[in-house]
Amino acid sequence: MNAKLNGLKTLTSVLALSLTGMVATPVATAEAQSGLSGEARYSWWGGPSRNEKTYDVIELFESENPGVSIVREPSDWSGYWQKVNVQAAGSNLPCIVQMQNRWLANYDDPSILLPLDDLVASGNLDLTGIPKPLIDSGRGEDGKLYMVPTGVFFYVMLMNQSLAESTGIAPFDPDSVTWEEFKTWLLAVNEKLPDGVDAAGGMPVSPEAFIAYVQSHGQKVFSEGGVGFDEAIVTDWFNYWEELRKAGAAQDADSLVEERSDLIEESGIANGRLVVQPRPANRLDAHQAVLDTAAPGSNLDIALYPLGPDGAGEDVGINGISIAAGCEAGARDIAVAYTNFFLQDERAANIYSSDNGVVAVDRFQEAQYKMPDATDGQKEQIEALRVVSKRAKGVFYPTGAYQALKDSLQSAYERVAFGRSTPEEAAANMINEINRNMK
Amino acid sequence: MSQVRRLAMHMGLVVALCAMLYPVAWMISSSFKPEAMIFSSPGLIPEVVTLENYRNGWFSQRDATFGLFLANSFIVCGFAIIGNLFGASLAGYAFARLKFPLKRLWFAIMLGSIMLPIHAQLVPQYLLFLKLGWVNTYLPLIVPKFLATDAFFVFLMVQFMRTLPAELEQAAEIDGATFWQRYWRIVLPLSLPALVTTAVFTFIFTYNDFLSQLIYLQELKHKTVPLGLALFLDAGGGSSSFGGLMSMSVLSIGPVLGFFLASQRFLTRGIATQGLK
Amino acid sequence: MKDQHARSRRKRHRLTPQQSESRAAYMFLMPWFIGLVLITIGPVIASLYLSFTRYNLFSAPQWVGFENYIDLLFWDQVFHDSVIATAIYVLCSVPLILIASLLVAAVLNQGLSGLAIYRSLFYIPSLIGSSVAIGFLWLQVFGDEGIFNDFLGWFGIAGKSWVSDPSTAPATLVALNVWTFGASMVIFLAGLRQIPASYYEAAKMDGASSIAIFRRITLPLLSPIIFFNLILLTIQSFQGFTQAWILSRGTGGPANSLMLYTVYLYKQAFEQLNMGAATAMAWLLLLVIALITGVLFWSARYWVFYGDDKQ
Repeated sequence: MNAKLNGLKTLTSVLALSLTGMVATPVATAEAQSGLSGEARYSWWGGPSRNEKTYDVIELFESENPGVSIVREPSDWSGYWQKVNVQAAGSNLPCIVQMQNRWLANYDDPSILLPLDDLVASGNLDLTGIPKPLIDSGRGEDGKLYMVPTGVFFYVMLMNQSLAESTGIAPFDPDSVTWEEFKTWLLAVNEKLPDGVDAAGGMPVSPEAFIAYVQSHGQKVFSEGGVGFDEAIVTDWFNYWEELRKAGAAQDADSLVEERSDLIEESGIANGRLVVQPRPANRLDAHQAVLDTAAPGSNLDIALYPLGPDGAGEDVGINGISIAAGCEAGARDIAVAYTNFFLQDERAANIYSSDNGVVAVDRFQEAQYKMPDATDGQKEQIEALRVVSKRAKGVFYPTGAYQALKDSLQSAYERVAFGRSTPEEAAANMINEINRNMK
Repeated sequence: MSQVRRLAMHMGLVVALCAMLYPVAWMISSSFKPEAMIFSSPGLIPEVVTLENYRNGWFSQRDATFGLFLANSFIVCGFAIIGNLFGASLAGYAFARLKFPLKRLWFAIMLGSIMLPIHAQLVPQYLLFLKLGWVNTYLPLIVPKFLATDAFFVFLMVQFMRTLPAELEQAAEIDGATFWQRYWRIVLPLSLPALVTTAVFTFIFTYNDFLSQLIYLQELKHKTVPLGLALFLDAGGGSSSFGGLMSMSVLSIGPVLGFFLASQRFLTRGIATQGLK
Repeated sequence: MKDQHARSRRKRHRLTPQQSESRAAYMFLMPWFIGLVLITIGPVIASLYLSFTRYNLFSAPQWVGFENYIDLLFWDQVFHDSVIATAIYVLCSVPLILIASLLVAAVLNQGLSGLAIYRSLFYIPSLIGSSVAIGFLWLQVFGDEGIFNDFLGWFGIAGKSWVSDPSTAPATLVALNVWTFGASMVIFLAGLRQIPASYYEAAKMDGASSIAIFRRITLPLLSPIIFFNLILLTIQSFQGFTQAWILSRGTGGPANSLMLYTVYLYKQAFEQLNMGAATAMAWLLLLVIALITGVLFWSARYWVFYGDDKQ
């Protein structure tokens, strides 16, 4: 029996070896002009269309740097963060990591991500043309720079202009409506809408809309070790939407739940069932494309979140690139070179065409706006950013805070809408939950 | 059995199947619809039939067709099956048919090892495999199977082997057969249904196992079917490809169903106990 | 010389039959032992240790004693929601799946024509039951516009979105779990195959009715497999994750009604980076499962019959 067992063992180890062999890394021989050689791992999140663009950028980079190869590690959104967490726990992050400022606080430690200040100071990392406030959004709690912005994203209300016009109600000013005026408008529009179409959807459980509400009322979203807003403002928020829901102007509880995923194809706004829904501004074109088949002839526009007593309240976020702390010197040089290429090379910027937020470098912003084949969506997004960037109130997201807010807001309002809690109870619960998770 | 009862049974089964397979039919039907119509005209009969989704889904990732993901899944599944058959049948035989000290304790530990949710062990396990240099290879998905760490299958083997009558081995024992011979010549052939079941289940579990494949297989080239399917969706607010998701989901059932059907042959032939007096 | 020496030593250490059986048993268990020591035990012990710490995955764990356990048990409302959701899920799914799979397996085993086709068709849901596509398929069935409402419409019953209402969403999750009963059915079918045909022939010659045969022969001889499925389903249901995750789109909602235990555990571990609480949850679950499995094993002596039992 021993012999057989041993035989099997040998077999397994041979197989094991052959499997390991399959992943052996090719040693680059050709030295590039840049002097770079070897490989660097690169991971990002995205769907099929973003992957295509990213592959194009990588291929261009590789063709200009013979001897360099970028290991592609794409993931879908939720798998991405799971993977990054485990990899970071094992100090095995890819050299080039796509990052978002809302999650940065989870990783803002020199043992996980490389602080980039020195590379920027020495001119190795080229941040030319990126506005300072955006760069500062890439800083961790310790003030060090852990990510460089590549795209600016912000949430807006997508509005089905055609549906809104069909009601004959005078439109509101998309840049300066107040929360109260907005409510009145929704109620008025609702009277004239056909069956099966609601005036607003997705708003009460949208963290971005809630943040806009909170900050426009002069409160902070997060403070040291917990939330920065009080129960009263949460209760007001819930009551605001309960009034609209009960009047039939906001989507009923069932539809709210059915459409809770962020998938465009499932969203009410892209299927012509809603007049207004909060979505990321950079997704206008993608929503319009779905709407063109669902309700041909309808036109989507961008409206900014309403204003409160304290003015505007929305936040602007950044997507960007971080470099892993555990990245070895050679690969780190590649990572820096790739980041520079991604940021500053005009061809790269045009290939990516603001897929993950408006391109952060201002000269490309201008160029993409003026490009003859720029879509309406791209133009509108850049126009909206010009307004928003002047009035936005940035939020610093402590570790786990965004997720906690998103989860608790969702379940708290669901309780209210299904009659399981009063707005007051739900508000108290929600704040408790978030604070516990942020502890 | 009377004709009437037979017919009634068929009727019952067919009705149950129709209800159960509706979602599957919907999936198949939508895989042939133009992408934009999947949700806008959700009826079962497509108004327009296209193969576009299959082409787009197959080639959705540059440098890696969906065929590569399928092949990778087969590699992992194939080794996992061999591993589980090996590890689980050996351990199962010991627990089912042999007496030894501390048997109950070891059995309890074996069963206990599947009671702790995997998510709580994921990080320590990852660190372990990272130390071994196995991350980004298929080894973490395969080697543990050879070491019978999938206690479900050990337990399955135990339960099946224990249904075999005790007299079976007694004759061999009298003839002076070693335990290895008793295992290899008598118990294993009679446990064919259990072995086939283990193979089928290992295939399906491994084929559908998203989490550990997500974590241990980093690069695109190594990705497997569940990871490939997830790449069609962008829940981060980007554009998804539902046509690709539906068509490749349909396509990915094919091999599993084929494997299942093929294995069923062994099952029907596996009535080895018939010769028993 | 050497040979002689070895032979004499072997003689001196001649094993009793019981000793050689134990020795053989440990040889058969060797791969499992190696796996236990090298792969299984480390992460298990690590997770136990982590359950007494505050650990965010990236910095060193800090010892906090029983804080995680106390927080969960006494202060965490979502944890309580998840316990309730899981209890409902386990209590409904396990019996339903057992009954459905045993019933269909028994019917299929009657020698109906087209057995292979039926078996495969019934099995298809198990193949895609945890695919990401299932979230959309279930909406087509139990959503507002789903076919279930069309079906109710024939009887004049007004439908609603069954997946969205917190009071009916758990039922749709159970339905999804039961929908994949094919896996248990296959195990039952394999078990039925293993019952010696001679037993049936003898019973038939005695003129027993098919119901009597099912009760007197099939059920007792199948009892180890029923027991296996019971244990398997119980453990799997307590650890149910993927389907709830996909149906709730990773939220555990509506209103935490699909927040199965492991879903919350996962969210704590990898979304809140609160691995201390997550591992504490894991060990609490282990205790509960071990207790219930223990009771089931104790009960097994009254209703499970093995071929190797001494008559």
